[in-house]
Amino acid sequence: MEPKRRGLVYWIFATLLLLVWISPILASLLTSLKSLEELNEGHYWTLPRHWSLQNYIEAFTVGKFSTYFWNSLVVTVPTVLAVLFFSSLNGYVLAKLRFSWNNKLLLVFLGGMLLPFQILLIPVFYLSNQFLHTYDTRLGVTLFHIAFQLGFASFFMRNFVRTIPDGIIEAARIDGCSEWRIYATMVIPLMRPALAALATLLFTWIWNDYLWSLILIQSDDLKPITAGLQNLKGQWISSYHLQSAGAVIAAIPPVLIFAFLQKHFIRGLTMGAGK
Amino acid sequence: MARVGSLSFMQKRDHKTAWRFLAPSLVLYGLYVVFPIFFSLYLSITQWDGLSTAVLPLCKNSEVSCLQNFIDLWNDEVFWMALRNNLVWLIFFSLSAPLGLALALFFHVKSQRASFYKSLFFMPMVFSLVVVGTIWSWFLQPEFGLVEFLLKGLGVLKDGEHFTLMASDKWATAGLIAAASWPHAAYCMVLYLAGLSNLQKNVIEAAEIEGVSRWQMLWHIILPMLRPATVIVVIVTMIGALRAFDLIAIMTAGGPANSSNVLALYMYQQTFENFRYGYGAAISVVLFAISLALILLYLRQTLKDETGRS
Repeated sequence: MEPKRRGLVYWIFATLLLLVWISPILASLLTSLKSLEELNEGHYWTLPRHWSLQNYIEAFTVGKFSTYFWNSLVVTVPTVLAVLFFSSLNGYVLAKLRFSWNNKLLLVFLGGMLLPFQILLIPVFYLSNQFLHTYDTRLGVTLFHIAFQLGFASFFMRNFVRTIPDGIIEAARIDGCSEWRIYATMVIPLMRPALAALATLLFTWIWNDYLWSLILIQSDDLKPITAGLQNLKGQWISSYHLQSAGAVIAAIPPVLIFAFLQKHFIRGLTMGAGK
Repeated sequence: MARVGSLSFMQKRDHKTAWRFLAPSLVLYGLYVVFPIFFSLYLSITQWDGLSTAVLPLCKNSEVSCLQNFIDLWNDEVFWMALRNNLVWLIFFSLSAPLGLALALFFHVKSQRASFYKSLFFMPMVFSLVVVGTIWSWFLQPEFGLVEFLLKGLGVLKDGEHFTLMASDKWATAGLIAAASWPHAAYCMVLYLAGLSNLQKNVIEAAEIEGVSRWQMLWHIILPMLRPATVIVVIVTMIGALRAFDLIAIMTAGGPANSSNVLALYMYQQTFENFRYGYGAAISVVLFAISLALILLYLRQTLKDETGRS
């Protein structure tokens, strides 16, 4: 079925479908741009008389979103970089070295990525609290995220490295290159498309995490933006204008990543689904 | 013989390098992912309070059975309610698969406008579930929400009536599943669109020449060719249904009166709100046991794809 160009009726229907699909987003966007006075008058679903960014400013200041936003970045960016580094190493080993544990380790990595998080909750909490003393630190969440994401990421990188021809690696080995040099100077540059795809996925997943910050972080000042948004909901119970602004702020970074790197993101998803 | 000898030398060298490269990952992964599974299994036969460093099994030095947590679960009404809701999730959350397929078929068009539309359809997929929950709570809000407003406008709701879906002990789960399916159907759509672009064109062209109807084409030709995508979609969907947590914690907190609770959330509540760590661990073990079947299925499918490909 070769995709065909479609006619007017198709596009009218498609547009209606799209409007229905994104109506929850439009509703929150609209509310976030309205002033409290206007909402109090009961004008919820009209276009705003004055477009206002007041709710966003308030979310950042009163709602402490600047702190939360920063915390999310400080956890997300190092996690992504660390996972890219370790998983590319793992991917290289699992795909290219003559190593009898290859398949067993692959299964362990692959199995872990599908676990229900609940089976890990208490032990990870226990480890962080009593053993590693990383409870209530951003480092603690970061370490856990790195470890957990390694499962999927190693599988993903291994599948990609397998597509690199053995010939060039063998040639370098015969020339006496160390495995580290082969990895660092030959394989890494070839991995670039896979690393880009993986990075977009990882960024989105870590940024969006809620559960682990709930388990591993207690201080309000260390919470990421997802937990911050939930805080905002608790403190300003029926302030839907503030909550909507908060939701939009929390969504912006992954949406930007998606908007600019969509090709990588989609490729990552379809490659990662075991295809 | 010399060749074999040198090969095993190479293998030895590779082994050493492999362990060196893998070591940091294996330490982290072992500590945070592998060890916890076994520790949870152990905790499920204890009554740990979350504080003491020594954790002893229930049956040690006491009359109770080591499986006491599981016996308590069996008699726990909320546990059964949560399990039942998990089943409801499994069934209805799966509808995002056909929805995603329908959207993929509909938007399987090549044009700039189509890619723009598709991007907007995909967008919910990159939202945190906390964001999805916040957006949908407002969307479905029973006094001023957009759905309420539209239903009033259409005359479905009369004056004085309210759209109380999320406050209903019968329907709250339906609202939650609808919200959860929104990003998930987009994900299924992505997987199916990728599947559609990989279809064998010659088979479809041959069928077109034969003059089969569109329905026959879909049912007998396209769907069978999409089978690999479908298998992955189904497994990912079922795992997703069992993982449901964030959205429920945010939108209903399991309420009203636990009517929308699921195992993942109930485990969290028992553990971190009621400080019954052993009991919580027992719930997580049940959830793990259910998931394990799916995980094994997924592993088998992935390995089959592997061998099929190489």
